[in-house]
Amino acid sequence: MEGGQGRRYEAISWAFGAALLSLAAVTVLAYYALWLGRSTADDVTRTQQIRATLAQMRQAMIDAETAQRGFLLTGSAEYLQPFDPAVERIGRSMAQAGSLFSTDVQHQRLASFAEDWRELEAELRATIALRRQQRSTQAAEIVSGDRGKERMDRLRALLDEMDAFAQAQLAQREQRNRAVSNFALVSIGLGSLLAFGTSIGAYAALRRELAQRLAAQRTADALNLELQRSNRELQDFAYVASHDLQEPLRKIQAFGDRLVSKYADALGAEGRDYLQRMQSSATRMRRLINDLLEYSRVTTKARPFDNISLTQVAADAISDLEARIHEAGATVEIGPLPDVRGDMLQIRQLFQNLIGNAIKFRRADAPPHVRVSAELDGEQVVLSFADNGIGFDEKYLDRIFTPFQRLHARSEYEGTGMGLAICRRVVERHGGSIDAHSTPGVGSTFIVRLPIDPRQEETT
Amino acid sequence: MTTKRQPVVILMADDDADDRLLCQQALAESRVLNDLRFVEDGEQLLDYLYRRNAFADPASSPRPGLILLDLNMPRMDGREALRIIKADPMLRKIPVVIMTTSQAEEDIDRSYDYGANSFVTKPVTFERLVELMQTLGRYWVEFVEIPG
Repeated sequence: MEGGQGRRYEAISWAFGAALLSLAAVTVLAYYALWLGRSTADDVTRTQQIRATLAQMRQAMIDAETAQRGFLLTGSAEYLQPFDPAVERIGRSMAQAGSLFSTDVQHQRLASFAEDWRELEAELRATIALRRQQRSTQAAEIVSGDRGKERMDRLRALLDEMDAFAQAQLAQREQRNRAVSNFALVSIGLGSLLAFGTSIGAYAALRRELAQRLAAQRTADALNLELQRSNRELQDFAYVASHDLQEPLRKIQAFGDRLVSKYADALGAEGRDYLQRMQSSATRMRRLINDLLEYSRVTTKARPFDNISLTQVAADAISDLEARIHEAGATVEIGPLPDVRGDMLQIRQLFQNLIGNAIKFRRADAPPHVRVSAELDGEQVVLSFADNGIGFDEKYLDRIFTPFQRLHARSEYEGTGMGLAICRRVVERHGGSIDAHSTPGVGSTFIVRLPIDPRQEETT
Repeated sequence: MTTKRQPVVILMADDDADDRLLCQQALAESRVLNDLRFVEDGEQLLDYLYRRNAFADPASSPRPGLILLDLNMPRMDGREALRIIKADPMLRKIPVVIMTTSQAEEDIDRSYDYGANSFVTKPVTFERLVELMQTLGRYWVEFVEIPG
């Protein structure tokens, strides 16, 4: 990935990261604000309950005292009736307050209240008992005593304190909640904006990137189309050119034959010699044109790759070379060969050229022997074509794979110098390589490396 | 079985003067009894067969017993001429042998599809051409029954 692309990818990743982060933050804050709202509501409810409870206690106290006073005055049991329920109510309320209070201060106040109330209750009961016993005067004395009044004031004060405290606590909580809520609102707002902003930014960046990719793809497609068209044109041109180029050559050969057969005597030995040279030139030119066509066809007439059995390909190649093998008394040995992916016709051509060469460039004193073997090397197949022919000086290694380059005079060995060039082109089209080792007078080994599963090549 | 001893008219359509010359000589050397005539393109061929224009005089255009037809010719090529001949009930009985330099699968396929009787690629050497003319001559003229 080039620098520019890399940076763009990074930018998009950052933008998305920021957007997600903002969203996460906003979500967390929103949940927190909601939770806060609910807990505030709970606080309010609890404070209301506390106040109600305290009010109940206050009222119950009054009821108890009123009952006591009434009874003291009238001696009538009717007035006394509300006393016990009131006491009981106070007891329950104290318990309830105890469960509602959450601070030590409030609990302490409640404990003080409970203590004072116990005393008050005892006093009330005492006076009631006295009145029952018709000892009103003594009862009245207790009632009019200051201690009672003080106690009552303390109790009322405690109730007021507890009430005020609860209210104050609530107010405090509400204020804090409001502050936090405001903060949350603002943060959520900003966070949302940020999330929106970065999302839109990321989207814009992505769209731009996509547009660029699409444009690049279109260009690639257009170029590909152009290439295909160009290939087709080239192929048509090559075919027509070779066809039309060969026409005159055919005539030269044919009329040359006529001359030789009809006017051999009139020509004389020298004349016949000249004619023969002309004809062999024409023949050579035809072969050259064919080979050139073959060379260009490696890429222009390339077929898509398929699974091929090298053993089968080798057998086909040998069968095509049957006549020459027989004529040279050659032996061809094919070892076990794997399957590869490739263009079958081209690989067959490769085998034909290499085995054919091994037979052609044979030593005079030894019948040609060719051994084809294969080895697996990672993702590649390494094919060896070993012969016992005339060999060549390894300093010519580069030349032999170049088009039209030969190491021998035409009179020594026939051929146009294209065979190995075609081999190299085929091998390279398959994404492989070709090499050779040789010892002059002993033999040569040609090494072909082919990927087992080559990527499809689209260009020349 | 009728033995044909009179020379059969062989009509060759080829635009190439050299090829015409070579065939003439090859046919002569093959010693097959024949009366070889030439036309140079598809239009002339049809003119001959339909006896019109330059070939209006029937004496100048005796009905051929065999047509040797090249594919690549100017004005009207062999493919077109073949199609027309084999579509015409008056003409389609005449055996047509395609003689061409083309070796394209497409041409071979289409020629037989149109109804050509044989497809032959022009040989490279003169010797082979003579052999071909001999074979053609013996086969189409001596062995094969040609409709009247």
